[in-house]
Amino acid sequence: MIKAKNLRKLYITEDVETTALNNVNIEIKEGEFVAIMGPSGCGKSTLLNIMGLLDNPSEGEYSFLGHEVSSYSERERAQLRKGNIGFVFQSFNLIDELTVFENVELPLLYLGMDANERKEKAEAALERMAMMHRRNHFPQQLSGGQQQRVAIARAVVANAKLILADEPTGNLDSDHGNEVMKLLEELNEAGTTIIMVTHSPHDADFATRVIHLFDGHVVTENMKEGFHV
Amino acid sequence: MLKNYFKIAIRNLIKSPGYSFINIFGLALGITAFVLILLFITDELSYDKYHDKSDNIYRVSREWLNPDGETSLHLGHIAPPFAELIKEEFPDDVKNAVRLFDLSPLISNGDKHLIQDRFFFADPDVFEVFSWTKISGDLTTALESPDGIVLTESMVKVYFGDENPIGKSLDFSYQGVETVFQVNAVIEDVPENSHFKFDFLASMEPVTQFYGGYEAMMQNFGSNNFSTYLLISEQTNGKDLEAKFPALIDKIFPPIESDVDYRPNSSDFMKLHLMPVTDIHLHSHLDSEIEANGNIEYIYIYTAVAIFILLIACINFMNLSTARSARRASEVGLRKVMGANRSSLIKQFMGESFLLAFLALILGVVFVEVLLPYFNDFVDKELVLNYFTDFKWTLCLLAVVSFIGLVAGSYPALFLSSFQPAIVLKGSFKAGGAHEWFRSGLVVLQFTISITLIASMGIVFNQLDYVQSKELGFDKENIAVVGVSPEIESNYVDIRNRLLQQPGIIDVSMQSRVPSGRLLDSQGGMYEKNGELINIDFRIADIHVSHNFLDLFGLELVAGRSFDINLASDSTEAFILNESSIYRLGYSNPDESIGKQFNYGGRNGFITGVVQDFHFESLHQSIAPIVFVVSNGRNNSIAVKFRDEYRNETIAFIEDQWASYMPNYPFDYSLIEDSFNEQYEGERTLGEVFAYFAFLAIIIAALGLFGLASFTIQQRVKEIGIRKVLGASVSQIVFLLSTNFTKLVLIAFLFATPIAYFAMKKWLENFAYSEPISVWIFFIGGIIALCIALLTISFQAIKSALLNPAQTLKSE
Repeated sequence: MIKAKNLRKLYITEDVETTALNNVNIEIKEGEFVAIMGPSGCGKSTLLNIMGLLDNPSEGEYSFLGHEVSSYSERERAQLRKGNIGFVFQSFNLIDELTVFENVELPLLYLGMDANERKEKAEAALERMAMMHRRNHFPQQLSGGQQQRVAIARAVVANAKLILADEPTGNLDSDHGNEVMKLLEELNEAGTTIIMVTHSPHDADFATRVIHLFDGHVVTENMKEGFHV
Repeated sequence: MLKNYFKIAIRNLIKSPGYSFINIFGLALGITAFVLILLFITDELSYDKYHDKSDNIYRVSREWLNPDGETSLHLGHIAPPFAELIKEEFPDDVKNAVRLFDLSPLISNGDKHLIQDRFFFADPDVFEVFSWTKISGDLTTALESPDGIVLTESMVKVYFGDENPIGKSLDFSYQGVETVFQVNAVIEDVPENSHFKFDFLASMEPVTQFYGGYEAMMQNFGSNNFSTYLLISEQTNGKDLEAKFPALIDKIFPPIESDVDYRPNSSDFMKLHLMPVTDIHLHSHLDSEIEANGNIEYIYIYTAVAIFILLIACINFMNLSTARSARRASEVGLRKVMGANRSSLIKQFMGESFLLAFLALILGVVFVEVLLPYFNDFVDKELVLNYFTDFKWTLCLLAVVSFIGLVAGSYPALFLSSFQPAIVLKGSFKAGGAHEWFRSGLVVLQFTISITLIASMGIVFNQLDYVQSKELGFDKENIAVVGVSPEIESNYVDIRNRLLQQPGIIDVSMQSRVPSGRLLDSQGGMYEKNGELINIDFRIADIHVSHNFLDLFGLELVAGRSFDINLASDSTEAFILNESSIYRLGYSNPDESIGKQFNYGGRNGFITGVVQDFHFESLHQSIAPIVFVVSNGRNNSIAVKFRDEYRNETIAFIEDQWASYMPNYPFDYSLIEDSFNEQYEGERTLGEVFAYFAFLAIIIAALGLFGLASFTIQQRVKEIGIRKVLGASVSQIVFLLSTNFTKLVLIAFLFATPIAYFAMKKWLENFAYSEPISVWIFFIGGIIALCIALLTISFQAIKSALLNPAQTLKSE
């Protein structure tokens, strides 16, 4: 599904050049649950942005679903992203002005789906996350755990093949955190590929593979027992 | 998708009521000003366009030139024979030519006696040329009978109530001429957007009789009292026709080259001009006009003001939207992550801007409805806004919304939609750099406009103050002016004696003109220089006066003596000139001219006195050469000088005396001082327009600044906290926060000063006399703007400076 070869990402400001990623080579197959770990500033989020087609690498090759995208324009990346990739963020990132239902519905709007189909799919996603009863609430009326469930519903509503989660439990207490991790695990078991950035070894245990990054390099890759690349 | 945008937009508005208020209220004020000014301008531009043949109607005016080619006089009224002569001379070009002659007679029906200011005599074909709507009667023949008259609907109500007026009679009385008119037709009231408005159109026949019959009238080229209009053929171009007039002039007044008299080509010193009837209201400012016209310059100024105010309101929207961008950044990021592309986000933000503009329009229309009656009072018009019947207004309002939506929304839309999701979703987003520069630029623009308006207002009022307080060279206080009639004129001595018995009355004089009007009468003459009689080759305006005129008006003699009632010869031989005449004639000083031979308008005599120059006309005009002669029957008014403490008794007393001579004549008087001030009505209105709109501009700009300051300061809350922890005082922080905005206002001041200076310098050219523009006006304008800006900012600055740093730092 994902092939990264010799990825490099540089941030250049007026007088400093920072290397966020250096010579990263990763391959991720469909159905995997990959956790990316490493200290702050090691390049986790940069890698996630590139994998999520939000950003282009400075050098190297990156292919997603067979498309070589490293030289894609923003418009082309957006086109490929639509319906294929779902995002889950540490800070949930729901739109405050939209209700739970409207937030979940949003990706379908941009896919140009008609109203009936949108309603069906958004309700199904909310049902799956057990958030139907809150469909008319606004994000701020919900607990953190509930908000993250809505965010996951939004990530899966378009049947994304890949979910990218950036510290999905970072803003949650352990009970709610566990709930969210179980949901992700269920999604993975149902066939969705998940790539998750995390600081928490406990969360990383849910993954089938853990990639450690340090100073922009991949330092180790651990496979969980019974899984093979 | 649209629904989704709409929802977000509405919820965003509700979520930030302060921001929404500033934007919608500010825009609504802008729209209100814009719509009101637009209403005014469209009305001004619509003058005389309602005539079916308006494109082919032209007015003829007559200009006299000095030997140096300079205009000496240019009248909108011409002599009676021209209409017919032009029509005969150019039969292919001119389909019709009609004359109008206006005066203010007493019109009576039974007990109803009223002076009518809108009374015109007209040639029968007047309805062939102009289009007024008939109610009853036959317009084609209405003015053919010598006693025919056409009335407007309003006058029918006044004189006949609900009766059918057709065939009924009305009594006419003017300066001893009495006649009876038969009502032959009734028309609707003349539209307000006409350069002349009348209530009566009467047959020209009585005027012809007054001029001594048709033959005599056709020989009279000196009585320039007829407004003359041509209906030209569709193939004829007005300019081309005008170019043929000099030949006609030379034909009417052929050159004379004999031993006794010499006259060069008449067309070198006399010209006829044409002006399209639809241009008269805004473009014609001749020495005589039927009514005071508007001014195209003011239309330009008002248009600029309207656009500026709207622009200021739009800038608020742009600035606040971009300043608030941090709040919308994550939404933009998310939408992009969800699959939105840039164009769909641009559409979304443009949509929000259109929605806001539309809400502002609704509020603006409410404001317009509320303010329209006051505005109508102010501009003295009856403007109405018909949204439903007048489709063009609905379209125009929608165009305004689209314009605002586009102008105000485009920048925020482009700016917001450009956010990179990878950056904004990390939460590290901070709008700045180039965009802050752009915002600052817009604030500078707003304050430049505001300060320009304030300074312009200052200059207008300063000039008004100058013209009203300038020493005019004569006494204008406590002089009442009453019109004369033949009864009054023939009993003048008796009336004067009776008036002088009233203790409040100091003096009484009778004359052809009083200071404050225009000096339009003049005749030719000769003067003595080095023992020879030479033709006067420039225009000297004449004023016919009673002996004591100079005393009553306090005119100062610089040489010679005043008129002496005890010298019989003074009535026919004495001339008193002003200094301008003397110097123009080439005398080295006033004394030199005394006793010199002087012939003028058929009188032969001597210069007996010279008065110091004074401002007979308004300060728009330079002082003209003037000659005073003792009147022998060319009087138009009586002036009564009174003691201020007896004002009311004096007026009442004059009224009583008038009633005893002319019982049916309604009494009317004016004060010289008022008449003088009325000459600056246009400027006063302009000053008030500047005042209102400068106020509005600064309010809208301040609203925007308030919003902008609150966002900018919010972004610096943490910085303020750290500074406080490090020991900064509240005043130091307020100073820190205010400095940036102060700088912007100061930059605006630097821009506004030259703009206002040069624009108003141009405006001051309308006056022959003006005071130099004082630097202080700009400083005061700048200081007002700065104070308002500081007041606006300091509220926010003090509030944030007082915050407890423990709180502000924790929230990070």
